[in-house]
Order: sequence, then C-alpha cells, then structure tokens
Amino acid sequence: MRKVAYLTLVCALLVSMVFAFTSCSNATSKAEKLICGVTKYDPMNYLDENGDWTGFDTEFARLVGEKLDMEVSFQEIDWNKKFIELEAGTITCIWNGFTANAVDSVTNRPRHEDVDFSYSYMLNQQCVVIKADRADEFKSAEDLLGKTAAAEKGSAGESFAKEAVGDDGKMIDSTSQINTFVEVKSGSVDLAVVDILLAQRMAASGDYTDLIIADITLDHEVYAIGFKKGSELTKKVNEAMMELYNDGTLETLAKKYGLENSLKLDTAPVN
Amino acid sequence: MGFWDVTLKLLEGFQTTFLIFALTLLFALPLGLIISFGSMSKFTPLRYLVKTVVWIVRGIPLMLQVFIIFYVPGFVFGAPVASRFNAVIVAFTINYACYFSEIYRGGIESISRSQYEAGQVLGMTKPQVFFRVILLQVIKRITAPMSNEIITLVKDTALARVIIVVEILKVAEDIATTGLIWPLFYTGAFYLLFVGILTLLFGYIEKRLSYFKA
Repeated sequence: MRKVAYLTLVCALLVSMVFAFTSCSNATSKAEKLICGVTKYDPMNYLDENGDWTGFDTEFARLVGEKLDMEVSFQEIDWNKKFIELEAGTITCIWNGFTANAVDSVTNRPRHEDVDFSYSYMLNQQCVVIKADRADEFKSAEDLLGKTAAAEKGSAGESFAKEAVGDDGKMIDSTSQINTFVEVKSGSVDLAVVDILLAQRMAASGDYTDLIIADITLDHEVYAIGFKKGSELTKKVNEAMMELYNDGTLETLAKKYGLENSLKLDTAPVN
Repeated sequence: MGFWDVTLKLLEGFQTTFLIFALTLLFALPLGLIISFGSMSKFTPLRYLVKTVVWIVRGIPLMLQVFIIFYVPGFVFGAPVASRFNAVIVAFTINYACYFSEIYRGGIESISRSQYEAGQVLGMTKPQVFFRVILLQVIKRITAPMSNEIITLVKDTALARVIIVVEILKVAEDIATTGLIWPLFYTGAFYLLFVGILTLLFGYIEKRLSYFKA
C-alpha cells in the first residue's frame, strides 16, 4: 500500500511539473510576435519616466511592427547571452544599437557568422572614456597601450579595447556599457571603451561629471538588426525599413533623438 | 533622485524579491516532504531515482539551473519559455525542495522507533501516526536548519537577475546606470531588515515549540 501511495505521489509531482512547464511556455514564439532583445542604451532603447520603453530603436521597431502587422515587445537581456537568447527563441531579434561589422568578443567570430543582419541603418563610433583630470595622459592611441580598460562583455567596445591596450594591457569585463562608467569613476580601471552615442549622453552628467571622452579616434562601425540565421524576418524587416527610410519617417525619428547625422541606410551586406 | 524616490523604487523591486521568496517557499516546502518520502522509500528503484535527482540538483549551481530551466525548452523542444519569472520560480522550487528534503529526512529519521510503536499500540493508522505524532516533533527538530536554508533563500533571490527578472538588486543596478551609485549598497539594508524579521519569527516559533521540554 505504502509503495503505491509513494509512487502515486511522485507521479502526481512529475505531472504537475510538466504542467507548470507547459503553462509557462504556452506562447511559443508565434510568427506575429517580434520580441526585441535590448539592453538599456540611451538614446536607442531606454525607459521614460513612466517606465515605458522609448528611444530611437524602440520607436523604429514599433514602426516596423506596424508595417508588418506584428506585435512588438522589448525584453531586456544580458548582452553577453544575446546569441543564446536568440537561439532559444526567447527573443526574436537583437535590435539595440547592434554593431554589425565587429568581431563578437564572446564568440571571437565576426557577428555575421552567428546572426543574419538587416540592412545597416546607422553609423557609430567607439570612444574612450577617461577621468577628466587625466586628460593629459591620453592624447593618442599609443597612450592606451598597457593600460587597464573596462568594456561591456560581448560588446564591440570590448574588441576595440582589447586591441587598443595590447598584450600588456588588462581588460575588465562589465555586464553593461554603463557599468563601465562606475569602473572608471572608481579608478579601478584607466579607461572604458563604449559607443560614442551613449558616451555623449552619459559623460559629464549626473554622478559622472568628472568623466570625459578622450580625443582619440577609433574605427567606424554600423548598426543593424540581428536575426536568427535563416529567419524569414530579415527580408520582411528590410523591406519595411526601406519604405520607412524612403518616405522620410526615419529621418524625422532620427532628428527627434539628435541622430540625423548618423542615420545612413546601407543595403550592402555586412561583413 | 532623492532618498525617498530611491527607497520607493527599491521597494518596487523588493516586491519581486519577496514574491520569488514566498512562492518558492510555498511550493518547495510540501515538495520537499514528498521528495524526502521518496528518498526513504523501501521501493529501491524509486529511492535511487530520487537520490539521483537530489544529487544532480544539489550538485549543480543554482544559477546554472536557472539557465537550464529557462533556455533548454527553447533549444531542445523549440518551445521557448515565455515567462522569465515562472522559470525562476520553477528552478528555485526544485532546488530548494531538494535541500529541504534532506533536512526533513534527517528530522524524520531522528524520531525514535518507540514513537511509532506507541502510536500503533493506540490503534492509529500509519498516516495518523505520522501527521499527529511524528510531524510536530520533526518540525521542532528541523526549525534551526530550516531557518538557515530559508535565510539563504532570501539572498539567493538575487540570482533571478541573471535572466533579467527585475528584483531589488537589478533595480539598484539600473539606478546606477543613471549616475546614482549609492542605492546599490543601500539594498543591503532591505535584505538585512527582512532577514532580521525572519530571524525573530524563527526565534518565536522555536520558543512556541519548546513546550516539549517542560
């Protein structure tokens, strides 16, 4: 009797767990859902005072969603796990000021080998953020050699930073671009390498008034949307993007966020 | 943002922390008991199966279990988990139930044979003996180790943010991105206060249960 009772209990337990599972995975990535994997990245994706997502990429994604009749949502992710999230289907695209022509520092491969990219739509640049009182030490790219740099793990900045500090330098991983500011401010690193669009907003604001962007130029890069390899969405989104660009909607949007000089649609494949 | 605004925001995050804590306890406490029965079963295959599960769950970092529960359904079955919060609750529940089960087992096996015999002599059925005679004594004996695990659970909730479930620590990190760093350390006060309340509660429970000593 007792054995039977135990067995029933355990079976009931297993069944209930399976139920718990299926009930939480009911919405199995329906085609009409566009879940954008994002990190908080002013001015591309950030929260307004009501806690709603806004920013250039956010509004851009919503416009594309309208065109394609898809329900757009934004899911914050750990940037380090962006490809895992995409592969697992917990997000359907990476749309977050995603540098297309870069070697990913997690996979050590060019990013286009792991995702399909849309047309690139914006120019960006990496920049070096330092403490204002050390501006004299950082005049040219050679001054970066052997220094300690912070960058977001898995970001384009990390690849640039690794190269910039060289073999004698040290890299500190951060979980987000913005956390690198804390590292620089606390003096635990000499410099941080982040996207210039972000740095222009963050440096010299709030608690970061003692940080500045060093006068050192790094290579140009382009932003594009990343989709799972072989996804049909790439083509559809490209078409919608082209329409929005041609009728001037994107330019109006870029002006709203002060990005009109960076907006540049390029249909050439990224590599 | 002033002190008051930050406190309110962190309190919002703490709601999630508390929910993870409370739901995990709600599911893991009974589940742990069932698992402990399994690990004491006289039916050998079941006993070994349960012991293997406990070994696996206790042997893998909780953070990895959260990743497995959240990502693997999407990888293997093509059915991505829609709710990050649910994934955390499932992972935490399984993990803590396994730890609890071993504490229960220790408690149950520490009760002397004569207690069961006395129950039988009085004509009670086996479930009656367990629930009316044994269980209360077990609860009394396991209060201290259980309080240890439950306090650990309070702090383990911080792991939820590895799949971006926005609990208090994540809220503080987000605030830090706006240039305010001190809230990150201020969160410690919330955990301390909550654990303080729990400690008092466990002290009270132990006191209430100490009538056996009289």
